[in-house]
Amino acid sequence: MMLSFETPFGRPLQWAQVAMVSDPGDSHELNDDRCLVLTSQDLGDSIAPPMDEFMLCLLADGATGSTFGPRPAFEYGGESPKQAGWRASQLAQSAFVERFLDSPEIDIMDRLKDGLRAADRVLADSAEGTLSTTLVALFLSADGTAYAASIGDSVLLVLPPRRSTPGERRLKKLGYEDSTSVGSGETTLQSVDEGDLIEQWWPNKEGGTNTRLSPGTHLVLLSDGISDNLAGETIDQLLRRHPLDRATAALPVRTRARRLQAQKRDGGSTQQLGLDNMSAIVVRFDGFRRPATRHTSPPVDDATLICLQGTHGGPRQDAGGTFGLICMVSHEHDRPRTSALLRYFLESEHVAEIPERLAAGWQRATAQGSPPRLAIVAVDEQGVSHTFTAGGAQVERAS
Amino acid sequence: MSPAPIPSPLADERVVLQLRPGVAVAVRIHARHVQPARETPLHTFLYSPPLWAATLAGIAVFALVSSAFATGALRPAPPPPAAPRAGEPMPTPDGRPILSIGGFVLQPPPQLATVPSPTQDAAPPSAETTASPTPAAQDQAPDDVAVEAPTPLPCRNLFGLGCGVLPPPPPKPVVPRQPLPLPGPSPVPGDDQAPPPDVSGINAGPPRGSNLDAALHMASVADQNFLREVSATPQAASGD
Repeated sequence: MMLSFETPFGRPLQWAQVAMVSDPGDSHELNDDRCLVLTSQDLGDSIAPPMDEFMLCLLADGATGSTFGPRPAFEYGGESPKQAGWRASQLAQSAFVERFLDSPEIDIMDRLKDGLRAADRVLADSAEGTLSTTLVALFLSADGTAYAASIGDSVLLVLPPRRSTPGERRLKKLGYEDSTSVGSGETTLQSVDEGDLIEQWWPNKEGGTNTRLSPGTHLVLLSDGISDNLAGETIDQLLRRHPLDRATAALPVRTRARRLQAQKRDGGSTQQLGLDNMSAIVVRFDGFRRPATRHTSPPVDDATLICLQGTHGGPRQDAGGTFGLICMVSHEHDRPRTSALLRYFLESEHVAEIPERLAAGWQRATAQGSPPRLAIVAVDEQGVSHTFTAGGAQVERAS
Repeated sequence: MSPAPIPSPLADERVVLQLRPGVAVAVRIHARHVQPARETPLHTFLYSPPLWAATLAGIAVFALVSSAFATGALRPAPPPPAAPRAGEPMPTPDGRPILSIGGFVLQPPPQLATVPSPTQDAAPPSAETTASPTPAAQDQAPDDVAVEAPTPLPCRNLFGLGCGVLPPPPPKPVVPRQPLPLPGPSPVPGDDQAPPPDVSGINAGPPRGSNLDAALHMASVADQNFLREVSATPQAASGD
């Protein structure tokens, strides 16, 4: 099941398409992978590019070796109370989102690094247990500005629309470092070169005048469950021959078929394929086309529309799924403090229901500044919608 | 100001997020099942250039060869000429190169025949053959065979290949032409010994459908009438 977002500005944006998939595989009891896509659309002209319209994609693959201490293991319960990979990926993403949105850095790459450092600190300092994960982050803006940063072996593939030059034919990939992880605390060490720890990418990094993304480029974030089994060429073919959402949904299916073939060839078991968690986020940058009616009428100079969608696992095999949220937030007196709300919303997934999580997140946001005026609609893993409003905002059924 | 959580089953419904009166955005989140993409044989074919390029090339070669056979541009090679018997002259061997494909030779395009002019009409019948026959045909066709100009046939093959290049038709059997019955000359009074008109070349008739015969006949009658009048006039004068 996938969630579709419809807004006056696209699905949820006009200049890019995105799809995600997550499959627990058959060798792990729990799904430790996590996908998250956050889009932000300034409804006025109060925010300068490239932060006025952007997409942030995060994929985390919680380490199987992550374990809870005695107390959190009791709190979360579940079938494998000690396994904490799902929690590591959850905490890392939530800390990253808050730090990225609140970072004072102007340079986008510095914001991404800030987010990775924040995630690393949160896991390293966590009292819940020994937590570590991979994390690959992609920033994409309406004007084609793109940056990516990664710690660990989760992969970012950049598949250009043409393969005419040697530079375009060379595979662009992040995720070669399988000896590093978020939660090791290495980002705080002066002795470790940050350049060796955090892999970075931007368009034409190897050289070239144009540092913007070409329309038609596919950006694929993969956990190692897929990237270890499917070649980049196979993924490229799949994306070129089929619609984005169907191609994305086929990635775990194709991985399973490939593994089955290998097992038959080698005489291995065809019942237990040894498949790791398989997750992917696929983005296609279509290029900026300004719609005829870009803004609300009348224009809103003090509001932002934020969309959040993701997949996650949890402490039980049946836990997790796909969730989504659309938030319209005003920033009349202060920068939007939705970052704290979103962080708590993500961290509290298996603790409470959506309305309580949103209310608690709102309390956190107001504790740090002026109370924002906001209206939220969210869909949980069971497909049930919830709404939340504050500051006099309203949510109504459309006529 | 307290938060107002409103859990409600709004799944798949369009809702309006309103910050204040007049500032609203209609949005919708809906779930959908997506079928994973499957690779069909059609996909494999369409996205494999070596496959469809070879298929296209094969179709093109088949169309070319079949059109060549259908239009007669390629024919079985003629049998070698029989060895001359003793006393017969030795024919000059044809040393021209011949393009042969598995026993089939490529025929040269025939030149289109032209309609014979009246002056050619008087020529011997062997000179009426204007299409250039193949060497083999030249050996076999007798000299007195009249070959008609080939008429264009409708194109019968699918791609129109080879149309307009017509092979020479097979030689027609020799049929002796009957002389056209000419009307006798008008009786000229007092001139019974007038020589009959010369019709020796009448067998070399014009092509079928030509009005040359009628025109010649009319000219002949007019000529004789003129001669008769010229010869009758002095008699009448002397009678006066």
